[in-house]
Amino acid sequence: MSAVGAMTDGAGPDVRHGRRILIIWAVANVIFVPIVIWVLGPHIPPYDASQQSTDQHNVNVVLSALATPVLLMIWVYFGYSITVFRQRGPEVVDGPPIEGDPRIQVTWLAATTVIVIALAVYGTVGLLPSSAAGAGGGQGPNPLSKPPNAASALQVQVIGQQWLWTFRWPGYGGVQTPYLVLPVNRWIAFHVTSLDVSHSFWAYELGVKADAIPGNDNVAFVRPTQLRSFQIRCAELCGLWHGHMNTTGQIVSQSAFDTWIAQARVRYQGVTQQLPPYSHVYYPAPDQRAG
Amino acid sequence: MSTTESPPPTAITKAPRFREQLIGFHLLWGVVLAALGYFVCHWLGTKIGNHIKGQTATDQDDIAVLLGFLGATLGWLIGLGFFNYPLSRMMGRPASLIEGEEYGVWRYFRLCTDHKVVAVQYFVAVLFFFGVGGLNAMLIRGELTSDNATFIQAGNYLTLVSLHGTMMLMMMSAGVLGPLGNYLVPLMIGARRMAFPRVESLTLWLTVLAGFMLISAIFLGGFPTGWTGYAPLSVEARAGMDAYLFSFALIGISLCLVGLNIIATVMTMRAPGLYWNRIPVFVWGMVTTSVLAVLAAPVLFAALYMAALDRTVETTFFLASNGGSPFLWYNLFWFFGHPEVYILALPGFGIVLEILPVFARKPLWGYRVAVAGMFGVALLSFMVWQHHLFVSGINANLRPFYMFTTELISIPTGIIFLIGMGTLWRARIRFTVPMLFCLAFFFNFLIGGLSGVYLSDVPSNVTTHGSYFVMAHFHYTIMGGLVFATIGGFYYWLPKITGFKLNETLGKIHFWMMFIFFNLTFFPLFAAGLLGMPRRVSSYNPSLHGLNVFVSISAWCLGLSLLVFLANIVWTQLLLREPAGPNPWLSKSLEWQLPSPVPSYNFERIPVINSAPYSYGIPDAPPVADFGTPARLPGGPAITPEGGVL
Amino acid sequence: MSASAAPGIVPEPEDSRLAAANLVVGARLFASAMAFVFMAFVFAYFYLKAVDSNGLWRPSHVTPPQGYGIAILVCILGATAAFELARRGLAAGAGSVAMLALALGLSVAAVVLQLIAYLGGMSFGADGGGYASVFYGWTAMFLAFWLGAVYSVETMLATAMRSAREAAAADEAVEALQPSADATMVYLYSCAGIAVLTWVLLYLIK
Repeated sequence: MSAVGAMTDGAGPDVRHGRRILIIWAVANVIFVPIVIWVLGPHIPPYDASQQSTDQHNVNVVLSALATPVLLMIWVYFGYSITVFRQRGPEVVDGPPIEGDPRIQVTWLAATTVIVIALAVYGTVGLLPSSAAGAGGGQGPNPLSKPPNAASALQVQVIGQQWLWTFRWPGYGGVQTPYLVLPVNRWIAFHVTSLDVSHSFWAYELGVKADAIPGNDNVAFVRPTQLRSFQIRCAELCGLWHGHMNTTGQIVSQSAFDTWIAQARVRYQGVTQQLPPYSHVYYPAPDQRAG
Repeated sequence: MSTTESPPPTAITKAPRFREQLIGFHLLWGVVLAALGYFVCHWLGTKIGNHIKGQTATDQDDIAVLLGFLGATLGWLIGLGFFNYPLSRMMGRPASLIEGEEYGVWRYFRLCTDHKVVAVQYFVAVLFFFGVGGLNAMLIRGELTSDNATFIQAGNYLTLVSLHGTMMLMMMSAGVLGPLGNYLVPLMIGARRMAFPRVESLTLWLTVLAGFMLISAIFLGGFPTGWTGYAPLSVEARAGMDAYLFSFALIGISLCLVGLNIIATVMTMRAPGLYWNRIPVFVWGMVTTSVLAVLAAPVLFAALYMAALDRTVETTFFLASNGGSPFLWYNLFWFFGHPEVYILALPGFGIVLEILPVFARKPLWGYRVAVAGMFGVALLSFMVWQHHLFVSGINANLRPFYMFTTELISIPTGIIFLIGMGTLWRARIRFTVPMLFCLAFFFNFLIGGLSGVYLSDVPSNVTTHGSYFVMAHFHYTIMGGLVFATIGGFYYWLPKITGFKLNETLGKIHFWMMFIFFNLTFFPLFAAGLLGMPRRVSSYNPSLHGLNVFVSISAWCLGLSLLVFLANIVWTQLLLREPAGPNPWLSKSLEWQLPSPVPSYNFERIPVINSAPYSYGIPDAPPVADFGTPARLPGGPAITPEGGVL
Repeated sequence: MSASAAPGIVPEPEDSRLAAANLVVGARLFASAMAFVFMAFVFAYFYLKAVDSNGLWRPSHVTPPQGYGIAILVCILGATAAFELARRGLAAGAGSVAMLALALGLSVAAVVLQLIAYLGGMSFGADGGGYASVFYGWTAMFLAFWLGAVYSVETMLATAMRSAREAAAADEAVEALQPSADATMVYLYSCAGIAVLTWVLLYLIK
């Protein structure tokens, strides 16, 4: 069983195998990285309905372009190994007893460390500047990444409850609407909260996701850039009809928005009077049970 | 079960006959007393509930249900005989470490302190519950062939999803530590038993009970929260939630004790000569997993206990309207939950790195770095939990920190890949079934790991969080990683455990079916997530209908492949029973130097270890251990009373 | 599926120090697991206190029963000290039954006091806000762990009494007790530490 399989020891075969693997990997990269960036890339969601979703789309393309060489390296290496280093026939032969080489290990560690630090820096840069404003994610009551002139952003309170979304407009007399209509090219500040259990406000095409948690005011910023509709879903399991907690929002021009909100104020006037005063969080009695 | 070459074991002839067995402490009385305990305590709980709440309690009353479960647990443990020893100790009788090993085949149905018996019990239990969880998955995919809840109603669908997730998480945490860890750790370190044999058996029977308790949620109205049990939904949910809380808490206790047992065993019971740098890498995988289990499972236990109090005695840990906070649950749960994710990865690393050298016929390339990598994963896993909460609005200022720590984990996991690649370099690879599963582990885990980079990046996470992208990601790491490695491990070690060969051809059919349909099932789900499909929904955007039908069909084929596995086990182990011989894989590891199946005392003498078990291809390498010499050589490492650090 | 012992093979006996080493290692690991259980409560305490959700962390009427708190703490520390004295007596070869009995009495007293406090000594219910939740959850959980200590001490006492009765020599009696004594001591010290923490956070700090 233990015939030592050291057929040609020394640097010769190592260098030859290594060079072959590198060449195959390089060729594969030349073929596949452009395909990922320019063929697959444009189809990676969430597209470009807002500044935030455009950023996320770009991040996804960049990460895919970075992941492809790593994926190819492992695949090429494993593919080459299991093809070339296989033992044919039933006999069992031992391979050369190669010990771990500290130089290779240190090089590998250094390379992965550099990649990781680069990724972390890239992710942070995509998050913090005022143009990114938290990349569309919920940031809690005191957001760190704010758009320029955050105070003048259009405030929209998103209220989740089992199993529907409502939207309250503190800048327009605290009117509450069952639909979401947003003006284009203007910073929006979503204040997301919940009346019962935890939900997650996911405006898919806008690239916004913020958990709606009772007792918490979760702020997310977005700047829509296209006139279009977008889907709103719940992304946190909230009970029986979680999958049906959908609605559609609309991005319109500033003037169309002004008209819409004025009509809404009139139409929901009676309801607005019955509502509790506007607040960042609400505490309804928690005694009702739901599936 | 005895092999042909060993003489008929004496213990079996002494075993009591069936009629005499009826009276005694075993599974039958465990079941009877558990049922009795449930009804007595449920009745009591109804009375207490009436007293506390001043209202008519129904059979859905949480106090009654939880007390019922407590009574069932006590009855179960009394019936199985777990209270006999503590009571005898309370009366001052001397300590003993052996119980129930003399009952022949009946010892599989009772408290038995033989670690090999417990491992087989674990194997059967985990396989059964894995099957239950898998059937849930098949039904889930059935529902998702339609874009609207038609096949199963929405409430039942949520219960299925929750049962599937919780069952798989519970059983896969025990899935390697239980069967393979309990069987192999003593054999690999040259010991005759685990450090705490009764505790070992206790963890098994708690796991079995927890599995059935979780299933009982169906009869209590199900539960709607998924395996994450997010408050305040969990506080409002119906009595099925109590089954989740109680069974998961039992698993938490069980997991903590399994880990404690394995660490203590490895610390104190290593054979002479088994220095820290000679311990098989599988044992290191078990030790690092155990560290996570001992420290993370208690936090889960505390969190579940708080949720149970919220549901029964009206505390408000998680209710924001009365001084609590849902974030408390998120923090506590994920502080457990992320180490739990690595409880589901590290055993896979250990198995794969253990098997790879055997079929590459080469030493493990970089043993120390591999061990360091496992410890690195274990350590870092306690520092990343808020990456599950990137968009929740908690500590948004810490998002860059958690993004960084999360991405750091790819350094130690990268090491595991490096070790695998180094071991394959100029190897003489044999493509046996275990080896195929190990290679598939690297393929799948790579995709799982790289998709994790998207999730760790906050801007990308805003889209992918809570979507099918996450779901595909963790199925690639847990199913593609751990389950593939575990099945590979079963193909590799089952001949040692039972003494019988598995069929190689059926094994290869199983492998290729499972590998292909696994990837066809889960790779499209990355796309489903990116295209906006949230997790845990029974109705979705009709544009994703075709994708989901494709995935469902692949998933059913994936389920079929596991039936091939089952058929292979049943056919070869129960019907064909072809002896495998002591060392069919020509491995150098300690356990393969023993007869198959291993005799109950493991080693006639405690062996003296000469080297780590990876000396393939080294000319004139000494045998891994010396079995003939008396143990405890005068100059060898001794066990100190303080805990045996050599 | 292992074959049972074949006749003629007598496995060499196990080193008797092994069980003792196991017990101490096991006790330390269990203590660390227990520490993480209470770390969850410490986290809950400070987190809910910091959030003060809806202003209901601790309404003014919520005050813990200070007398019971001190009494329980004293019982636990006393039981631990008595056990330590018993262990030292054991190591010196002296009898330990009296000290063990004292330790058992004090540890049971702690349980009884806590139960009396629950049934009649509380000025607030479990639904009295964040602090009330942590108070009830924490103390009840500690009670459960402390019952483990009671069991260990009782086992020690019973073993000591039996071996004093039956053992032929004093050495033999000591040998039966020593390993469990060390392991129990580790557990009792951990419990005592958590008891002090309990008292500081739940009773002392306002």
